[in-house]
Amino acid sequence: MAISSNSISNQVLLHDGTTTGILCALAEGFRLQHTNPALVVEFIGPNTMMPLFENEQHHISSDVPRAGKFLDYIAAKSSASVTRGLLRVLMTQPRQSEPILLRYIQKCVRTAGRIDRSHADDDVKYIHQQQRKVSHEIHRFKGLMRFEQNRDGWLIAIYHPDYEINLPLALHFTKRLAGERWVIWNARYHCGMIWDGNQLNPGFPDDQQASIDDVAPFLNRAKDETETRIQELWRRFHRTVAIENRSNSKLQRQCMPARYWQHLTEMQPRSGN
Amino acid sequence: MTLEEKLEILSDAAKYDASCASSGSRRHGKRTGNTSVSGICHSWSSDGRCISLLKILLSNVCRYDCAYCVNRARNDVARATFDAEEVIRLTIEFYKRNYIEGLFLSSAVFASPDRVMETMVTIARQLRQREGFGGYIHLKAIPGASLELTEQAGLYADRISVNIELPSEQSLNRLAPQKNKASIIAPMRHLGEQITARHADRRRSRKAPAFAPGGQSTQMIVGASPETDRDIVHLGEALYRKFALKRIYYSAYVPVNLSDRDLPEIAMPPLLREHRLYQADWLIRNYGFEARELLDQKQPNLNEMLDPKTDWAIRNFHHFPIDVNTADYEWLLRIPGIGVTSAKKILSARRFHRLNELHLQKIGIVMKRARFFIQSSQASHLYLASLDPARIKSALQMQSKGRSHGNQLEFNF
Repeated sequence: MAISSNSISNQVLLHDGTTTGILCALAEGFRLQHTNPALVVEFIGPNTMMPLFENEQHHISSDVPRAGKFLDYIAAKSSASVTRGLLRVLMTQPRQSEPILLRYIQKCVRTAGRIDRSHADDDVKYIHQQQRKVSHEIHRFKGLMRFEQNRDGWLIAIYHPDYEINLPLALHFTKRLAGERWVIWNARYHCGMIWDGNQLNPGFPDDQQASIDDVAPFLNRAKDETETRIQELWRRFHRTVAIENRSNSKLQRQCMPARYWQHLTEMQPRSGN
Repeated sequence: MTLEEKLEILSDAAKYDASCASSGSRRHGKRTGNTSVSGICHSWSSDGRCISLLKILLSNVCRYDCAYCVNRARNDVARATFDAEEVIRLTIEFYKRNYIEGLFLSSAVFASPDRVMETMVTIARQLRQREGFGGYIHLKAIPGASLELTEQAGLYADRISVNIELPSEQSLNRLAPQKNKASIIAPMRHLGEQITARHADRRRSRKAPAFAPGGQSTQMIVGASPETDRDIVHLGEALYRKFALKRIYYSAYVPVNLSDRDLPEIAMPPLLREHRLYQADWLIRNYGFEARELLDQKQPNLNEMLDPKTDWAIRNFHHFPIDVNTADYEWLLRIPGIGVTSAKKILSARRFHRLNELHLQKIGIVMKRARFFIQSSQASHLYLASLDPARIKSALQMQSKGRSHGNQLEFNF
């Protein structure tokens, strides 16, 4: 549904906070300001306060084809790296930064993407910073993800990231552990990815109560003696490879913050049996 | 002996090797594993070093008696040797659980150098061919092994290294009597030639077999012998130029063998010196500096109070201030507080508008260091005029002193 842009009052666009929802709201905002540059557009997500004054409000529905078309449009008018960057920023589930995103998109379209190299521009800088945070976390978990093998031979990893980065990580592991069967579970966003050796299956409930057991009821979480032994071997290696004379636990914490330790095999005390 | 005990002995014996890089290679395994060009760190040990590879010795039974080494023949330490299969299983099982990026295999000289090298090459070949393993493999070349074997290692490994150990022939003769310069330089030169030639083949045809795509590296112990930083940095520069080395690792001497008359007695490994050498090494590899610019006869050692680039800038103050809006990339890189990333960002950002100090801050330049050396706005120009190199030096030294009490690197001496 397109909104008439003739009205002079501010336009308030309400969206559902999902990546698709935000993209559709941005597309609408882009369209409105394209026809009437003087128009003020505000965005309201699920957790934002309603504005104090009465304005024209429009519910923007989450429409996957529309979001896709908008991304294609941006890519065609600027470059694919701009859309890739935008998608990374959206993985942070940004709150109240839609105006920056909209301005950035407008600048990119206007300059055929060249603005992306103007590193002293505030909007560009914000986008790059957010992008870096997400890319950094993806890179970090490529290393920090820990799999545990169950009795049926499945590898299971639970992790607790700041952002919803299941897809890029799953794609990384489909190449790396192509011959294995595995599940990764994002314990913060309550969603998972399953690789059965042939196919990647996403789309698990985004339910706040969900746990990995809901996702893969066929998985037996029990581990056998071999698994216990390998974990113990790894813990031993991790302990002995440190040079005592150079001990520097502050640096260790700086590189590997304690909030990640919960799911790291080597940072768990030796198991009972 | 159990596998647990062996792993403990042979990882403990391997831990003094500084290299842990898993970068520079793009490989896909037939069954399990691939490599990432930028490398991936998987964990950090309590000394703050990253762990990306399963770093072990094949054996710590040694015929040699090198003074600085914990595994030397005369030491009374627990000895162990892995079976090839044990190394293969550990690598695969650890890799599957995403503990590691691959294997770093070195060894003491438990038999003839050829036999040792042959066993190591066999392990790498079996991992690649039988197990379809595509993860990172770093093999240590054993000095004295035949060049054919060293060359074979390059077919299966992502990186090969030959440790030069000490920065001069005299020190090597004194502290490692069974090794000699020729036995170290010969494989290094051979690998350098092979890598250069085969990487060129590879660029011409994708069908040419990969040969040590991650290149070769070496390691030098710092502080066990009397060489100055100038000797070390010049040697490093020569190695990069002659043998196409990817990296040199500097390892602060840790006194593992007490009461040896040949070795200095020190309370703590010289970590700050090691750190400064790494900084100088970076300047040579990535910033276009030459060793003779950093150190000369008048100043044979790096300044411990200031990083080598700032130190150089103060000694060569006549080049400054530099205008970031017009300077070439090479000169941007020479400004303290500006690194490779920010220099590139300056190049692209200044095409849009003139850059002032606020812009530079946004780009990510370390202004507290850079402000003494750049000419961007009137304010900084006035500031600069009120200062002379000696005063800037002391101001910067105060800054770095303050920092060592805060976070970042901490040195307890």
